[in-house]
Amino acid sequence: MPYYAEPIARLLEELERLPGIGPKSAQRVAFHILKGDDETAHRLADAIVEVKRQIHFCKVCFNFAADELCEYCADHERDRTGICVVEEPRDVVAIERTGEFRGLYHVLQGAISPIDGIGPEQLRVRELILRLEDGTVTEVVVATNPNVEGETTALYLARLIKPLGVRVTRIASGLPVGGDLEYADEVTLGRALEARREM
Amino acid sequence: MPSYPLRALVLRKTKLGEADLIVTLLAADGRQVRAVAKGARKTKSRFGARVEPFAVADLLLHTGRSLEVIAEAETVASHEALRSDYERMAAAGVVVDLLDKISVEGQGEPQLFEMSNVTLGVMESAAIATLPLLVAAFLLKALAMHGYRPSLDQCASCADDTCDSTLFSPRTGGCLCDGCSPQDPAALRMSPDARAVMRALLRSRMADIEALGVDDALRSEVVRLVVAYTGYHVPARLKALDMYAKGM
Ligand SMILES: [Zn+2]
Ligand SMILES: [Zn+2]
Repeated sequence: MPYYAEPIARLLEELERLPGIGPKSAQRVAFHILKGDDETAHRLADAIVEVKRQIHFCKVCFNFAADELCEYCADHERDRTGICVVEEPRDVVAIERTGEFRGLYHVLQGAISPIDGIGPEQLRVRELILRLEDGTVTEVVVATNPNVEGETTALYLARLIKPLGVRVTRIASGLPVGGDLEYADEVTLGRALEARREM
Repeated sequence: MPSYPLRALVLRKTKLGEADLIVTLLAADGRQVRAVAKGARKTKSRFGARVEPFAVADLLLHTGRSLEVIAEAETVASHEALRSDYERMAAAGVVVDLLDKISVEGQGEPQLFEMSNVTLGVMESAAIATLPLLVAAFLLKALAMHGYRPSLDQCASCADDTCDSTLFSPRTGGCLCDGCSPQDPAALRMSPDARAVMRALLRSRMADIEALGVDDALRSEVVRLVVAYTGYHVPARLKALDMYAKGM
């Protein structure tokens, strides 16, 4: 990008790597930062560095965590007989907002997508099965997205987990197909959880 | 903005921005079309299941600057029953992956759409054990339409029609007679029964493949040969097929 001074070009290049940000949005963000004061820019830069330093994946459920365990795994008030399986950490937030689920979570970090070459071994499936071994968990609620990848993942998990004698349920089909879980409102998602069905 | 109707099979979705999707389609005339479905990832989207992979839909497209934009979508066949089993989803995944890789923009093969649509329909209700054979039949038929019909009655190299060897050469394009066998040291063993099944797969209608009554061992052999043949003639990596073959 020969039109910009090197530090600006560098910032634009980094911003354009972010999801959903094209050249136009990158320019808008970059000029916003340039026009603001030094302190604002430092706060942003610090926040980015700190989040990477402090947050990692919970070693049990692979949600984001500031400590070794995430807030849910560390909370002894939570019901340890149920695990809700989701694709991404942001889906944990969506389920929590409904207030309908009091158990623990398991974040797969994606969904099975044959066309993208994403199979079960690329996801945190093995770790989920290990959590079921000691017999504490009696129900696994599969709350993957209601699209082809999410359904494929749910079917795969049901086939794997049912022989272990653990109940596998799927959030109700009231959720519109094709949508992402994170966009569902609390009421719809809460109802879908309540009306989950045996797989 | 000029707009036009299009019947198409949804092959894959790619996320675009906050809530949009780029949908890759196989049009009814066999061309590949890419179109944007605005807001399709929102749960209140009017598109919903209509632009999910495996669905056939009647679309109204606006001609955009770089990509077409989907204005309306009406379901023709959702192929909903594929969602009842992991095995059905995996088999259907191979179908759309191959179509995604072999179809091209601006150049169509009309038979490809019909055959794909029928294949997905048959996969909805076929016995689970038949699915690998349906996958093999689809791959052979699609490659044949694409100009890569394997030679099974004549030697692929010298056209000798008394060829009854047990060698199958993906590179040469079919079976090899004894005289030509040194041409491809990588040729695979093919039993006479496997050759007969492959011939039958090419000739049969999708709906009749279940009735061929192929046993487990023979089915595995046929699938292995067809996967090798496909891998050789499709330059792009078929990730869904790799996964499918590994899971068998
Ligand atoms: Zn945790
Ligand atoms: Zn020959």
